[in-house]
Amino acid sequence: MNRHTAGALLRDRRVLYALTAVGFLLSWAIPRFGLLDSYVQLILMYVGINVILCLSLNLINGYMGEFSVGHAGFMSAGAYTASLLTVRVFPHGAAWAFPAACLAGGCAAALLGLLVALPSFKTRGDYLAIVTLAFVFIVKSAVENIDAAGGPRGLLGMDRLTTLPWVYAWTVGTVFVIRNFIYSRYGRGVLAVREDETAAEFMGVDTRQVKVLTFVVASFFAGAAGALFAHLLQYISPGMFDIVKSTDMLVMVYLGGVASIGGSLLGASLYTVLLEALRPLAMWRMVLMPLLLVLLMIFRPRGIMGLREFPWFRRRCPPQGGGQPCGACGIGGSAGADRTDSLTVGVAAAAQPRPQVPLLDVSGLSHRFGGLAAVSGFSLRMSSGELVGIIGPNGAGKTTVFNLITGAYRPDEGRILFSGQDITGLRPGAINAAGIARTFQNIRLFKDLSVLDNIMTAHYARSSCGVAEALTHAGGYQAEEARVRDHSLELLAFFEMQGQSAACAGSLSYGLQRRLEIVRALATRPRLLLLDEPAAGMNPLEVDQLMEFIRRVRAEFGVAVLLIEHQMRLVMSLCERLEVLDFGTTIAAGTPAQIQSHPRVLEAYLGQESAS
Amino acid sequence: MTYFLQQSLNALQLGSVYALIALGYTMVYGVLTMINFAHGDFFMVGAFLCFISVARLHLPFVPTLLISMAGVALLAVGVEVAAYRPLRNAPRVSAIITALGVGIFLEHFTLALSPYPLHIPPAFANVTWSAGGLAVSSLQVVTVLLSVGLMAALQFVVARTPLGIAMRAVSWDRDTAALLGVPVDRVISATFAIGGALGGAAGMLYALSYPVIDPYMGVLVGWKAFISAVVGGIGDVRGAMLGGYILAAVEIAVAVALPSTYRDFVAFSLLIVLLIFRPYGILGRPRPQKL
Repeated sequence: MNRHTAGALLRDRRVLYALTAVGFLLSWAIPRFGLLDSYVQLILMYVGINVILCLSLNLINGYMGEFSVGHAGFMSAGAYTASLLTVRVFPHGAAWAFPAACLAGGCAAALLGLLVALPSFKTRGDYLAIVTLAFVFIVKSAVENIDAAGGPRGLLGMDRLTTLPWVYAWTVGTVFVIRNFIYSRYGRGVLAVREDETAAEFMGVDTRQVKVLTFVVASFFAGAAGALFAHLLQYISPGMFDIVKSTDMLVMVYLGGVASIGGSLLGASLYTVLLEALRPLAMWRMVLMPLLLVLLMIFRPRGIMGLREFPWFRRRCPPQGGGQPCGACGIGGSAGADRTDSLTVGVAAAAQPRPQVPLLDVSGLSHRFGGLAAVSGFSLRMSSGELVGIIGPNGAGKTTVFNLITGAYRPDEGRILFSGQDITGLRPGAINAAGIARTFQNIRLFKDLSVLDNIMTAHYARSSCGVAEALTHAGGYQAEEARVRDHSLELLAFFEMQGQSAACAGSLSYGLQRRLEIVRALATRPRLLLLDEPAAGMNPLEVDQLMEFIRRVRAEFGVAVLLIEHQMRLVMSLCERLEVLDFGTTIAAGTPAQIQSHPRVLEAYLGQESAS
Repeated sequence: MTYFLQQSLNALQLGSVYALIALGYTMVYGVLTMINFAHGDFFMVGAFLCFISVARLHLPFVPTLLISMAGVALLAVGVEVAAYRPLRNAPRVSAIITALGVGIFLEHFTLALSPYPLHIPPAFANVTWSAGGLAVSSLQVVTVLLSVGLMAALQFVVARTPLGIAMRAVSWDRDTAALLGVPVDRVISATFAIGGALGGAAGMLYALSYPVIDPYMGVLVGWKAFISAVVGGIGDVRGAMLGGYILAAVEIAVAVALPSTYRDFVAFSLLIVLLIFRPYGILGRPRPQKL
């Protein structure tokens, strides 16, 4: 009973608001009436500043799954901008200018963040780590060469303007804004980038926009934290914000837990307090800390709260639906499960076929990998609502054709028209927006996200909620979120998956994962759906279900379907037309019956002798 | 002209050290696709071993070199077995963080043992030959020749020996290599040992050339060597050497033309500019992505 009450309190948002208010009162009362000695107050302020740094870094390294070591540089930019404003520009009204100086520090850092982000996200992998590393050295070296900022000796003369209420307000504000960001369409994009950037791009997420935006938001808060830090310590020097400082923040993030607000609060507090508590050990505490980090990585690689969340910070949601609840996103729901009527109508309206112009018109498509011509001179026409299959031996170039149509590769030759619009060489996101969606040969779901979030993510390109709305959850945000959510639930209900909406996508059975991938593709409202070996690994019964499923998708959603498949039973009974590929060229095309007796097909599949 | 030659010689000396360290980064990256952020600190340990050998044990050059190389190789293998191996199948980021942790641990552990910068006496009588205003010290000659020799040996190992073939196999596909009977664990340990030995040699040569050492010396030099590896194309042995000499040349050129405080600023800015135009480095090529 007692546990139950405690759990209810933890879930009740009002308790959080009440505690926040009490905290604010305390933050004012403590220094006012000297309730705690000034050393403890100082530690509290460091905890707050570290929470801001840790949470904003967690946005990049935890939620987005990139690896930045540049936070010290952004902190430095914020600290110097704010300090120069209060010391040099407004020496007499420093106390009044301080709030604006903090914002200015944040903005300066955000601007630098934009400069770093734009080139950094050109390629994947460790690129960001390298660029941010260089960035930290550049900032340090640049500041050392600015005489007005004190050069290598540092900058003095700031008043102690950072007070407990200020730190508290900034900390609460940071948690509020970053939490809002995570639970917006951009936040879903961030998580999708972490889970599978390629799949996210094909589902219409503007991954570049998402990454740059996230980086800028995180830099802003690092800059603001720097401003607070400078006016607490009253002295800054370029050497303070070196790579070791960034490493401190990394330790906090990975100690507390990646992709978790609660984790960042915990990590920053623990680290700050622990460092103080171990002060008697002198130098040896600095030896213990990294050792702790290594042990943590070996025994708990995602940190104490990794990918989990404190109930207060989860998304507001209706009671959990069935299936294994998904800790990573902490959402669930089965509301609106049987409202399927509006769904098909809405989609069919989007799928109005244009007369005369073919839906897809591919001509003379060629692509080479080095010297190997994977596809050469491939042409294909499809009209709206058609169901066409591509078959051929392994290595015939089938998937390459898909990759060319959906923008994964840029064709060496040839042209792709989609309902009259030239989409040759566009980025995958733009091609998805034009109305082509796909699935993958090896399932590429966002495995650690819930089934519902997988579907909601695919609405990215069809939502219009702006950055300001996402950061504040004000304006049209709530209405749009509800609309996307309802539409996603309707889709799931339509395919009898509403029971799993709260489950982790990765925990579904193989057949359901295949199905979810198709539903996710449909959520982007395509007019052409490309399925890459949808029946791979299925038993005969599952193949029967899949055929029924594909027929239903086409009938209800009015999409044309182009599929690659090796299961002849499926292809022959489902497709209206077949293209047979071998060595990158079409060797035969026609109805299933024509193909079955086509001599060149028999030759490709069974070899020369059988054909004669 | 003499001045130019003199500065080129300095660049060659510094570049040799960068190249030797960069090789350690690039080999581990090539085999494990992991950035071993502790490698700069391996280099630092090499310098401290050099101090112990020269200043405390009063050993001559060759034993000192062997102590530095063997000591750091042992350390690298130990770190790999104790800290990296348990994480081999963990998320990539875990391994990177662990490497950072190991690096800080080494710095602070050394700092706790030896809080003040140390001065290293010369390991051998340093002769300077001058000809037409150009001064060449025996230390410079030794540094460059030894580095080039070690690099040639490494190139031979990677290109021609069974170990090198095994390394490249593990680099391409660890699982398949294991299925084909390549002892993956031993190959990875050998990679760390070789990278560590080269780092140890670099630490010693650096300490003899710039004889004041402190526990944080591996941070800046290490990062710069890492940058060299990236410039050349990380994962590529020749790229690491090329990158090391390029970075050193740029640094010396900046120090000549501008106040020396701009050195890091220009060097790192150039890196970013280079990466914008050649994201995979000078010799690196992207591996195609499979869908």
